[in-house]
Amino acid sequence: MAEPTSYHVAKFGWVKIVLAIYVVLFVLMLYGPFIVMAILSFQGEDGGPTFPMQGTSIFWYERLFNPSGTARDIGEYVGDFGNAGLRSLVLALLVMCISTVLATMAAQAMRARFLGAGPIFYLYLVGIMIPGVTVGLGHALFWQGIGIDKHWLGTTLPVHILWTFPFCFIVMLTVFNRFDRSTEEAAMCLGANSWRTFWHITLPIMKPGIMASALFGFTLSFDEFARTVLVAGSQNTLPLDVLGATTIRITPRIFAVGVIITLISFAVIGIFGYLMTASRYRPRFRGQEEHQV
Amino acid sequence: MDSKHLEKKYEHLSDRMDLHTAMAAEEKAIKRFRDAEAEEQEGGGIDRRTFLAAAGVTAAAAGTVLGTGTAKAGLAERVAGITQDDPMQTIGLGVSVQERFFNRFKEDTGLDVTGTVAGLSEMITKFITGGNKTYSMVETNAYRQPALREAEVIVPIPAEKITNWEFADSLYTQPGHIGADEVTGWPSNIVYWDENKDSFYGVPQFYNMDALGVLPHKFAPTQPDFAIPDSLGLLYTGKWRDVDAVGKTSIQNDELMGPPRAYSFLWKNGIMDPPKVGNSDMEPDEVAGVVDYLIAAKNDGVFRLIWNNYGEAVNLLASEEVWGMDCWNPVVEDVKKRGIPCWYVDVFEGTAAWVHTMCLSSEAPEPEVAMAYMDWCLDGWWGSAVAPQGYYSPCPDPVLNFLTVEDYRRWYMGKDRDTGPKTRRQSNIAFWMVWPTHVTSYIKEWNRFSAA
Repeated sequence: MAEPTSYHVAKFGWVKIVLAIYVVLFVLMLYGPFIVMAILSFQGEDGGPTFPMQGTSIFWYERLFNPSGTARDIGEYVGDFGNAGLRSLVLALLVMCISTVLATMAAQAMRARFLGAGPIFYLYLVGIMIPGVTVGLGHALFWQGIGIDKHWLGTTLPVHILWTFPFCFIVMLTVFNRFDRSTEEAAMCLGANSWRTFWHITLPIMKPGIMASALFGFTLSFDEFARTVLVAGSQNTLPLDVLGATTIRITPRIFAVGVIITLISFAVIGIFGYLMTASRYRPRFRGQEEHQV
Repeated sequence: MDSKHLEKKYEHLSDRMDLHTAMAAEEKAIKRFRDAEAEEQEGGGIDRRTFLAAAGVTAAAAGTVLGTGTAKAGLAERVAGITQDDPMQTIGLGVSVQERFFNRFKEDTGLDVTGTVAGLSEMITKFITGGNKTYSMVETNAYRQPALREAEVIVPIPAEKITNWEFADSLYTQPGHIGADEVTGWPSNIVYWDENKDSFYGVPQFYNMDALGVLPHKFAPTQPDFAIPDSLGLLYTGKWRDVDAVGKTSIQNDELMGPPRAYSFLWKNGIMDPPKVGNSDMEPDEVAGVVDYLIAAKNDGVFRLIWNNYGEAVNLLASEEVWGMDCWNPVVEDVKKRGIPCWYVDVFEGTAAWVHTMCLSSEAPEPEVAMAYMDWCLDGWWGSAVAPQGYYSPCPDPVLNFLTVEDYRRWYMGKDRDTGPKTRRQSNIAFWMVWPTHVTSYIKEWNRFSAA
């Protein structure tokens, strides 16, 4: 199909505007709850979980970082968000690294038609097909059976990787799908062995895809709840602690935690976005995929 | 308060319980409170405060501490011989597992405790799948205890370890007490491991009786004597006296509490037959009948919606979309903070009682510390710390040492509190939150209700 000509743009320009408005509304709907939560987190001391707002201040954020003095509300006593957040972060970073490496290797393998590639492909995806709590329960019973105590990093890592690996794998598959083999072949013609080809040619071109896959892995692990709750051991990760805090009373403190977590996520996305675009190894020859339609 | 007014209010109950006993207990509690007040006014306050300070008890921030409660002296002696290798780990809901409790326990005894917060089903599953080796105790809702016992992850607690139990409310020690459930034997059969009563199954930690949350300004102005709804009929029929609240009520989406609560309304008002076994433990055909009625009510548009979580409940009442719902006490307190008048009232059909207990793990790493912690929770300070949330301690006397006059008046005596004094509330329990025998029929029928 040819590029749309100015005739097409002139005739169907209004479609673009309508679609643009639709996208804006859609994004608003997706982020609506977050916006409401963010607004409610800036309430004053008497704040509660609903509108109307009771005063405007950064009281609850201050409370979060300096929990001194008598608590304003019973709901403030639960949740060690700082330490739990740190645990979640460490776990997510570790899961991200391991998952991305495994996913890249798996996707690279899938480029060739080896024996059993079909069943193995579905085996890779099993992790996202089974309901989360069931997986968590299975893991919990397994660890109990072989006598290993549950720990937020030790026993939780496998179950998180089980959850994030399929997603990272799928992302890498699509990235490899659009990859142009001619650059690799050119390198091999020039005398590079397969390892040099992979390291110097394939990976740099894949870099944005790997970043995307890593981001996926990080985000999925950071707010994973259903699988984690039964295998986390005695120290909670952040989602577990947030849920624990909501069992007493929902106060703006929890909203403040939510806003901060979301800002951290935005920051992570921003970092990844920057890394993806400002790559030192930006290849000047992009291969055929740019012109494929 | 005069007894004639109480008699009139509860005359329909006189065949079911001894009203006069309940009133007598209430009078006794009031008298003791008045004695304490008088003593305080005579100027004995300063001496008591310094005495308590010397004994290591700090006065509460807002006002004079009552200090007339009896308590076990010598907490330090009780925990003298206990050594620990690691901090004792406990698991429970956010209500009972809080850093401030552990800090205070450490101040009082020098022992370390840490805790994990979890939801109820997650907590039980964690405990059963190996958690009993990590956690020394579990702070659970008592209706889950049979599941723990069956999985053999809890053990009996020797009675002599819980020294504060002598102050227990007789509701927990005497099977036939007012408010106790004759059919299921609750709550005393959830407290003791067996009939010998020499060891504990679960040590009660706190309890409450769920009632009705209403917006009084929607009802009272229209009634000649400014009466507030006091019947569950408001929830299930949408009508109370001459007020039409159809489409303005909401019930909780809870398959274990929903049927018994509706049933207490239905059989007390003659719409269904009285229970064959008991209101706490219904038969499958009774559950089916209740759900049929609820489905009819749902189709008639009586319910605005079925509420699921805390924030939703507060929202509904605060925005006045719903005028009456079967919510929890903290919900009503939050709605009041929004500036909307909201009352938590007991209904004449009776309240839904529940109790949270502490159980000892079968492979507890630190059993001695766990039992000391359980005993300490009944020591008084813990009870006074949770009283402002509306929770009662099963050993009320030691709590008096730590509650201010204001707090005790409010939370136990019921002044300015919508629901009234604890003793009266306890005499009006419709059912306990137990694990029913026919639990699968509850779940099946409630699914049918949800799907209708």
